[in-house]
Amino acid sequence: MSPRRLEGETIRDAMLAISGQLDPASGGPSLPFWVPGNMNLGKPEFLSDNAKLDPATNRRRSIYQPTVRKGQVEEMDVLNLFDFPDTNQITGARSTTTVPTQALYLMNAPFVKQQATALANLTLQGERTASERVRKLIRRVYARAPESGEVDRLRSYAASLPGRAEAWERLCHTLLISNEFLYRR
Amino acid sequence: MTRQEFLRRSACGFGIAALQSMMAGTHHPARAKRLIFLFMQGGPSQMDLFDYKPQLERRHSQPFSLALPKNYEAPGIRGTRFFGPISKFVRRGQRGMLMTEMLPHLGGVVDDVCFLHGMHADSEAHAPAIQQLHTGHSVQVRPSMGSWVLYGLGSENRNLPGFITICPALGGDGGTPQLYGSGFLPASYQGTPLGRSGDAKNARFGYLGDAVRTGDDQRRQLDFLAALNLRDAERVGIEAELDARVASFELAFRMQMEAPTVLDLARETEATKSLYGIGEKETDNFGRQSLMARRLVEAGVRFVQVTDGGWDHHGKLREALPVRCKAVDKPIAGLIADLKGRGLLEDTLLIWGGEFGRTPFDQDLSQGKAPASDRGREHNPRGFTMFLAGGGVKPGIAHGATDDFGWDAVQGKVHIHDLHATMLHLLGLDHERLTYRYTGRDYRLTDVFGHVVKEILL
Repeated sequence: MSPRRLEGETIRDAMLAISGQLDPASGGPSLPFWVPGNMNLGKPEFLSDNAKLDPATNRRRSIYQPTVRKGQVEEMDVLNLFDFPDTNQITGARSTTTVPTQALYLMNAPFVKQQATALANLTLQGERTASERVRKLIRRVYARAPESGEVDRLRSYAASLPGRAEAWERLCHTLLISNEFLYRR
Repeated sequence: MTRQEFLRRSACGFGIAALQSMMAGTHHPARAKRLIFLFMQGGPSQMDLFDYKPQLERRHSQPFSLALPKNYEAPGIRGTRFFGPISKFVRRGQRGMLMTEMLPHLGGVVDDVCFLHGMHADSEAHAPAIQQLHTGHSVQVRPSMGSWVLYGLGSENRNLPGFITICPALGGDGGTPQLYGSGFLPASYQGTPLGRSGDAKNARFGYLGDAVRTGDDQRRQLDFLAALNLRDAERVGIEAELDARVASFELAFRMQMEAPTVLDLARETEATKSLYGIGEKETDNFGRQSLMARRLVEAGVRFVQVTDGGWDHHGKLREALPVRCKAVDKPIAGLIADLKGRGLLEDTLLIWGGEFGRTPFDQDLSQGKAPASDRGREHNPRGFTMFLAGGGVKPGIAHGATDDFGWDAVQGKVHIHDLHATMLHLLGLDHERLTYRYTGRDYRLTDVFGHVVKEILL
């Protein structure tokens, strides 16, 4: 079977799950927005600018999060970029595009960086040696055993970067935006 | 291979879109290679700006005596009166084009402008009218005209998006991301927003990294990422889609390097900046947007939209319209002169206009509480003015006309569909052949409508 790119929701959910940040609560109706007190709900065009996901539930899976008809809120921008259909129209099949604005999101979005930081923190807990940490990381991100030479390659990349925490964050970040993570096979 | 097959096989962004433009080509020789759309959100008042109506002026403040259409309803028009132009009209340019004295700079370049006085549209409400202007359809979600153009022609710069909208209206009446959305076309044709309405000074692309501070680390990260992806490709077999993903990171990195340079207005001379009114309080914001538009089209961006809000003058027309005129007059005139000076105007099509025009009768939303001098005008899609410049359009002419009061287009009528057909024609595309198959049928920007306005073609 040819590889299939994860959908926007799945990219978000999988990153949260791997970084240990996912709220696993399930079931129930769609979650509400968190709406600032001074917002006029009679002027819904301001909704996408001002509304946020409810901080109490914003780590739950994407399927429970509210959607906006005009375009998703900033915290769910991954959907706007990764072909989430327009909720005003019928969509028999989503298109799957590959554009540089998606790459920019993966490279620089605060959400992705936060997940990389959380994943680095998880990785640095417990295991004593760098090799053990890399092994744990590969299992966690790719759900498979490391291949021969792989641990050394990842370890030496991290070792080549300045700063211990930053180096692990960048390694984790790289794995989270790699094809093996972004494509189902 | 058809255009659509080609796209299906290679839906991977503007690098491929640029290649596609070389391969697909145009339907006929193009007069315009790129387009700048200056969108005046709200509905500029034609009879105060470009469409001089002496009879309306003579009958100013007399009870409005024309028959309104059956079932016509609007707030604040009980006992409405004729509302003459609020400013003096003057003759400008070699042919003595009549236009308001509120746009003195535009008057200076009016010999390059083609007025369309017979514009008309279908809807009297902002949201559907704005949607029709941007997508051809007033109700259903359809691809933006910029997306259609990019689908047809691709981009000339592989380091920048091919369709950019500067400071788009996301709030306000009818503002929505759908105006630059690709609808059912692949997302690679969607417009890329640059900044937010009213804040041109801080207009940036989203998620651009700091190339100076983190560029080296990120370069090494992307090299390492490419190595990971290469091993992965060896494991699963080479796949075009995975290749495209790798390429998209390289494009993004180049965009990160190039975009700040393209948007850096400090690289322009003081003379150019002042030509656009940058640095002057009233004109700085739109001046920046207009100069960015020139820099973007110069860099090979196919379709650039620039938005100015606040043209919806239901009241206080006398106060508010001159403010908007002042804000855009120098920037637009500067843009036209600058494009011309650089030899870009001849193959850059410029379109100016709002979603509709305004009524020849006055409107008083205060229900009689405010003084008569505070009145404004209601929306009017039956007849209004837009103007074009450059890109194969006859310069220094006025095409079409409204009736004696500026209420209905009566001559040389140009519907929004006709504008779209003409725009595509100038870009080398036949609006009847630029199609995309969706839900079992071929769609067009012009649906089943649209005629090219041949009278205005050079």
